[in-house]
Amino acid sequence: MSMLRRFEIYSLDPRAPQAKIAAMHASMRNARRYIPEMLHSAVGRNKSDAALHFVWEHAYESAESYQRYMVHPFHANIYDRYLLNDCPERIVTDNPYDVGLLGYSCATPIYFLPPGSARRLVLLRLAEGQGDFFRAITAQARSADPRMILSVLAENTFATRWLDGVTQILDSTTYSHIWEQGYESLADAAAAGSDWRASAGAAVEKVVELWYELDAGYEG
Amino acid sequence: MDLAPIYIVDTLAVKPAQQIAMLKLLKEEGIPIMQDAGLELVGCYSTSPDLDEDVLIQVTWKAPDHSAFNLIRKAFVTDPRWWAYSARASRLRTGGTRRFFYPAPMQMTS
Repeated sequence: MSMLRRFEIYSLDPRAPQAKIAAMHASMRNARRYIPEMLHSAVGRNKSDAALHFVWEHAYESAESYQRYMVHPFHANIYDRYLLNDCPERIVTDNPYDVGLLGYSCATPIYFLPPGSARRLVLLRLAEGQGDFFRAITAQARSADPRMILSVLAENTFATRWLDGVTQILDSTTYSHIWEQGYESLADAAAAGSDWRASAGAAVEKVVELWYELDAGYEG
Repeated sequence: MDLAPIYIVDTLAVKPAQQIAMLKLLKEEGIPIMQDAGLELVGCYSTSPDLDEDVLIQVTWKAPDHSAFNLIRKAFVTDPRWWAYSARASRLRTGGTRRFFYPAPMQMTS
């Protein structure tokens, strides 16, 4: 069985009422209270300079679990309200990074960090055939920084398969890979830096970095 | 409670001066796009523009159930026309809601 790891990343409308942002935050943080299929749901407010403000990270036990999420009434009633472009109560905006929904498959929850930890998320478009080369760079970065307690590099297979988690429905996506780094604190995540970029050279065609503290919710 | 069929009720608030512009946008873009995606148009109603308050335009859609709506959602969000329509509609709106309604869980007529 293959788990699905998923991120939704948004820029917030500066005119959005704080009460609505708080309501979206709570509904996503506590997603499992409403949709039992959702695992390890957590939200975070990005602290990097990227004009992306809000991250919702979670996972599903299987593609079948994800498909149940997609048809769950709570999804259409509540999440769409805040996110869909034609909804009058939308509080997110399109963003210049072309960032939205990303994710990957994994056999076990290799991404897991305890609540209160911090995530540094590196979204990458790697040049064709540079996956192995960049994987070595991530290993080197982890060994060089003892504060990095978790490092997962994965191909962003979800962005083109968001309908059911399996079937490819889009030809391509902006970010080919996701590098999740874990730290014990937000300060460590912020201080980690991007020295790896010098080694990566032209292997990285596009990159955006975010870091945030995990605000994890109800786990049943 | 039986959650099928679904009635999706969009209430769009606009300034009185924008009532006709919003209705025209709905007629020429929004409604055809959503119908092409698979939603059934149940009705479209408007409050009066002569009340010295925002006009509410209420559009009601119908879908068989949430599984069907999931596929309808995929159809409209992958339609480039929906992105352009949504941007234009958001500039006309001052507010509003989208709510999902279901058959009331009791018979309302004798």
